[in-house]
Amino acid sequence: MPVDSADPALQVDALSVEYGSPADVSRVVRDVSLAVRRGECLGIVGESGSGKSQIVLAVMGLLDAHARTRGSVKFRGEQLLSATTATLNRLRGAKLAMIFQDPLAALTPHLKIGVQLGEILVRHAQMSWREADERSLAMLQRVRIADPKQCLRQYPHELSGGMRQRVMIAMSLLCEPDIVIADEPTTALDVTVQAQIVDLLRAMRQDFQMGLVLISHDLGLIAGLADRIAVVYAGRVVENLAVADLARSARHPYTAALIECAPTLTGRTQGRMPTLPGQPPSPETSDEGCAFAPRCARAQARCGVERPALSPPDAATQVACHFPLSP
Amino acid sequence: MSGLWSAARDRLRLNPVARTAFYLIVFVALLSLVGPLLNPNHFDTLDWAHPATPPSVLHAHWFGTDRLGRDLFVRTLDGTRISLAIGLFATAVSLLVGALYGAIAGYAGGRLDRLMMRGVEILSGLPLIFFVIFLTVLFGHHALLLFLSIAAVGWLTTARIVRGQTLSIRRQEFVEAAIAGGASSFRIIRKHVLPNVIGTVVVYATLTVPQMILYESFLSFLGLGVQEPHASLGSLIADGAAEMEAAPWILLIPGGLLAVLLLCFNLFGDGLRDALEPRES
Repeated sequence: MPVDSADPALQVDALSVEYGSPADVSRVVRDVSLAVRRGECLGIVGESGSGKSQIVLAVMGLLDAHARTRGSVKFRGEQLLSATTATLNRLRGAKLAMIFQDPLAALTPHLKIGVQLGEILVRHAQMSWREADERSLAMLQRVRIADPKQCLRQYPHELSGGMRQRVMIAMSLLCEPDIVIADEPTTALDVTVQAQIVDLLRAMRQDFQMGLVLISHDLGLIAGLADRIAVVYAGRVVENLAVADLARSARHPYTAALIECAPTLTGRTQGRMPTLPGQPPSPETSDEGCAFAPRCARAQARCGVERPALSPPDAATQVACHFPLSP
Repeated sequence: MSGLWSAARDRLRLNPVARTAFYLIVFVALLSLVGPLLNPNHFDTLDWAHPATPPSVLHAHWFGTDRLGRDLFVRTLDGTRISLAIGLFATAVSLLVGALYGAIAGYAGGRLDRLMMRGVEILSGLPLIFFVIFLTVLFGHHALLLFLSIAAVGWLTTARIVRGQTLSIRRQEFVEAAIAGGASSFRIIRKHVLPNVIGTVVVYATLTVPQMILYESFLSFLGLGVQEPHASLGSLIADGAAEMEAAPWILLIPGGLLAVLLLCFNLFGDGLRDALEPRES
């Protein structure tokens, strides 16, 4: 079923994820809304513990059984949050695929690559194992694995880190998904391999025209791949902006601080690297005021009591700040 | 997987104790199959000319005879075969049932897990002897009953072990990735979880066999197990214990064989564990 490109394939509305008892609640995702169309790439940036991974785990239905969710996650018009396991299993791996951070941990250690790729095709595309092998071989070729025939017969531990991530990417693309979620796809790899994987992801976006959700704390990676960026702080989206605007017109002080702190390979840093003082708030804190206020140089009395909403509403570029930087 | 097993086999070959134990087990098992054919006596023929004769190679009773003149060589090997068969069968059943049960409980988690494990605890609260006497009273003496009652008790520990392993594997990212790939729970248990548990289970199995043999011997010793004229190591030991002072060989031969067998299984199991989990050795 071709999806109308105007309609987002993945639409997250007012999603919240909570853990713990009502008396002692941890709110790790707060009121997050996102939309991803086919062919576009949304980057989600935030530091460790900001809740960016929890957002995608909620989308994939992979949250811990204790998690409570509110809001809505719609995939091609189907509500995923309340969906049965059977519905999820029909979509997951086929039309909604995920690339994990550490491919060595995400590939089952005792199964050959051919089996792990093949079982997805057998399951979702109703192929025979012979057909599945052919398709897997072709897909491994497309992700530029040098000897795909041999790779099919190998175990995950016999491959290099880069090859394993290529296999993961091939696996996610097998059934020509509408949306691929990549959770820190290069974090577990060394720098030279990172660049190759980024190139590969970019090429695959061109080829498959899937919507890509890219999660990272690495602004450089996001800037190189994404079209739009959602900046997440303490479980909330604090700014939505186009990648082109990132360097010139970031308006939220947190986004500006992230850019400030990003090390560059070319630019020389004078003295100490800039850092952002303070700690992000814990997920137990209440929702009063702006979560970033305690670390913000521009904070005023109002920031401590009144929480800024993303504004302007329904715009592509939004910021949640009472005193945004002028673009 | 094949790499793991061939590496384990190589390490096992380098362990002289485990290797010797393994060959001894194989030797005893083969002997228990072939041995009775080598001797002219039958396990229930009574040789009235030679009651309670000590072991000797000069006559046909190589291990001597018991009080009724039955040949101990044939009876001991016959008993060993029955004991081994019960031990292996009970272990196989306990592994199949226990591994599946434990994997389902551990993978499902939550309420189902609690329910299933409480069931295991209730069953393990039942004393084995009580259970066997109860079954015997209900259904009478039957070899199959002995197999089943031992297996019924044996799977409980396997279930606990496999559940524990499953709990830790379930947290691993490759299981999450398999869920994200749309695999069904049953397929994940079968293809992604159970093969990872096999190493532990195999080691546990080799340590279960002697335990099961001991159970069977214990029951037979009490007269609840294998019935006359058939013999198992346990019932032979019981017979021997009655004649211990006058004819010690009737006790020592099956008793010694049982001890050697149990020791070998335990040593082999230890060696296998070291081979499969080399970091801990």
